Amino acid sequence: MTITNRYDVAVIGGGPAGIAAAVTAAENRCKVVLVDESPRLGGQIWRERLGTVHSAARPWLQRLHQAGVKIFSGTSVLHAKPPGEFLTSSGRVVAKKTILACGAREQFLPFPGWTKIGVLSVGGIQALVHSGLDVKNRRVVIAGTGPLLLQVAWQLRQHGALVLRIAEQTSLTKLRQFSAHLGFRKIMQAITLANYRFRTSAWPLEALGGDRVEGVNLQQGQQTESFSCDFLAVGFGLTPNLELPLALGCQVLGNAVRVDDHQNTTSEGVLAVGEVCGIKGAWGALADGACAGYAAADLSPPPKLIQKRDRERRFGFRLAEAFELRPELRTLAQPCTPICRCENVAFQSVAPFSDWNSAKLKTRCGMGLCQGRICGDTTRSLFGWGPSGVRPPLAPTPIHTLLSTTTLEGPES
Amino acid sequence: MKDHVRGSKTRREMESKVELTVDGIRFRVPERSSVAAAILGSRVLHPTGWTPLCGIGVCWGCRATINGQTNSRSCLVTVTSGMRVQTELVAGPGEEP
Repeated sequence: MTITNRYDVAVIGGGPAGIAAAVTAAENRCKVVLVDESPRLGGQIWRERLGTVHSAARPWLQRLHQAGVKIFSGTSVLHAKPPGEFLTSSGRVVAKKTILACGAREQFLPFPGWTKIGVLSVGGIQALVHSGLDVKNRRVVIAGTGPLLLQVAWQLRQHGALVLRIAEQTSLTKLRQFSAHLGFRKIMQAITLANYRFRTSAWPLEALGGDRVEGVNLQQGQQTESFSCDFLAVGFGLTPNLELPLALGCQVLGNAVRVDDHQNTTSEGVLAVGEVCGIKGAWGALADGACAGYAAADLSPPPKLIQKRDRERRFGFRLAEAFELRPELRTLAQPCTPICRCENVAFQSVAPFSDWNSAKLKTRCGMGLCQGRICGDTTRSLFGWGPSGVRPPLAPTPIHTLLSTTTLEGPES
Repeated sequence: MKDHVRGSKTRREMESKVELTVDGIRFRVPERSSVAAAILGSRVLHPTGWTPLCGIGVCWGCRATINGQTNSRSCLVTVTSGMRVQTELVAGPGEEP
């Protein structure tokens, strides 16, 4: 059976990494298709704010359109076959090569009360504010780890929120070591952002209130402190979206897709870029993307670009070291604390099991709508359970979508 | 200052609003808001069992029935005029007629 390769390169994910990859490949004479789940390109970091394009994204998006990249926005990948056959919610896409830029999601650690309305992830409150959530004069406590806490605190203040506390779980010593590697400007920025509401060695113990969050207890060194608040934003770092890489047979090292110097994964014809091969931020994602764009066009990336990419990779390693989660955070859940939010499965029901699959079969943990995207990561972090294989469809899909996507996408006009 | 300009621009954008009905309550939100942001920001709605977490379509905690389509991730849907939203969980997937 012959398959017509409709595209040279399929890029999955429209954040900085995917955009840079698509632009670079297309500018080097590849016929490129870019598939993205969000209604608008930009990924999480270049998210549009009430219809306004992120300023850093603008030149890239312009190049993307100029280079003639075919874009499928609001499109989920449901099934994938290596190297580049995809069943998506917008039809079938076939390409000779694939560049995976599926990004990362936030990692969560359960604590009592984390299922109350108003307990959001830090990235979540950021995304919701960008899509219209009014936080003016609302009291917000931010807790967890990583540079995102400060960034979100700053953005929330810009929108009129009252940020009462920023609780960073890592120690001041580790934070200092990390800051020493950053430039002076960044340190100044960090200090300005942080201000007197910032605490290190501090973490959430319990969200208080009824259905809706009304307050939070925080651990602060040896003491506990309580705040009344309207929103509690928590973030315990990022973890790569590995479902699609696993479906395409890519080898995973630790929590990230293993790639070589040209961003090739262990699966022939499949490349990976950005956070999916290790958390390192938008600059690293852009460098990864551009390298992969060259590689997909059978060109060698310029040496300067490779240097830049390697520098950003090292930044990623330092990031992981500085904001490593402290063991206390894994003991916050009480017996009745829900682990699986979709199916409402408590910690005490899941804890006796020895692996993910048996817990799933016996408790329905991980079998709800999110398909283990929250509790799968959580149980990996709490109990060290590894990810099991992935099965299509990769996202819950209405049957009529599956029925209507069995044919190749129609001819382009 | 730059920040001030950004703030006033946002306010100007907020002026055009759309009306939608959530759990039988009609209210107005800025156009281009996501449905999840609209519900979460409201002080009149009290949904139960509706627990958005990630805001980016991963956790499905914000799933709702939007214009008859069950299990829609409301954080990924932009409000439209006259939209009807129910936050209570509907058993089983599928669509209402």
